[in-house]
Amino acid sequence: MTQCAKAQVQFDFVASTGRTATTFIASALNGFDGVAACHEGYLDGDKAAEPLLPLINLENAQAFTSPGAAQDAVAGKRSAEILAAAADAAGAARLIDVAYYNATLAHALLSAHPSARMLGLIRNCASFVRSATTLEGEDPLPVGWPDPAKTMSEREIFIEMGRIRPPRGSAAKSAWKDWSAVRRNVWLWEETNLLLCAAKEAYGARVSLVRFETFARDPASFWAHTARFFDLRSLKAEGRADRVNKKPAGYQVGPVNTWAEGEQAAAHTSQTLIDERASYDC
Amino acid sequence: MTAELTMSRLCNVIEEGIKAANHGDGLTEEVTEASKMGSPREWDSLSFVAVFNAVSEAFNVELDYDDAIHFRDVKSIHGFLEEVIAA
Repeated sequence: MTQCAKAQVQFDFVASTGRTATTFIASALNGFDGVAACHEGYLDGDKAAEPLLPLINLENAQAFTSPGAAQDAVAGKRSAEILAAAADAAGAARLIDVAYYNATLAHALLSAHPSARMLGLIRNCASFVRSATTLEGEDPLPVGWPDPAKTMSEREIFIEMGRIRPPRGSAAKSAWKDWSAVRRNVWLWEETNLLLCAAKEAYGARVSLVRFETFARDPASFWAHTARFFDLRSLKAEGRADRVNKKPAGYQVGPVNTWAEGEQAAAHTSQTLIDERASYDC
Repeated sequence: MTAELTMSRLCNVIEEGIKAANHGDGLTEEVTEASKMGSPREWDSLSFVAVFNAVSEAFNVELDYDDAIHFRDVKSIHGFLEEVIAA
């Protein structure tokens, strides 16, 4: 790949806990002219095709506990050369990757790519936990920690191996084995969103934090903000940025007022923490 | 039974793990010291866990999810096992 090609590629990314319509958002971003948008490395979220970007899974958990591992993952899988080759293969001048692992890699990505911008999507804690928690049956899109007693497929186990978990020696690690899936996913939500907040604090205008609820309730405002932030211009002929995500929700966990007292308290504490820390743009 | 850690034994354990995850079918290429996820192509995210478990059982080492990062290629698994067994 030539230096010229490298210089022409603008890389940006979207980060979140997951369960924030990221497949849908990647597909919509891919509808903008000159943009190749991936969902977790797959162009337009097409997982039947070969991935456009090297896949990241196990590196996510490692990057959470080690800044050096995050830098290694970026150097090995999101280098300027790799991004330029991916953009070239897609015939685009711009590349956007929408993925949960971008939260743990945020600092390393923003540091390695000085023109990169990050859109961080933050969903309400209780809503995320309800959506991400599986109590029974195989989860085709596992994002959160399942019920500890749930039977897991090998695919679910592999994905779980890459999910962030409390570091060895931490208080959360000690408590982990006694925590329910709901409590674990409150932890997952808080830690992921703290990473997004930290990226905003460190990189200022290169990071925009957006409430997922804005996307859900007022998609026009969300897309107007996103187009401005990423400097997205015209749509491709087939592109549509006014779409509304209509994927049905199927929750296995009841509303927050049905949770155990400790789970409710943890969710409230985590929500308050992020509300105080996050500086939202939309 | 615990197997002695040699590169050839490790390759054999990994190969059997991949085959088990692929219903005993043959692989597109044999597992060697140079093998890694994706090569052979049957060593994918689905067979990863079978390899992880097969290595744990064959070499009698207790593995944690945090160890999974070392299981993406034969050389890394071998180096990891050398450290664990020596500890």
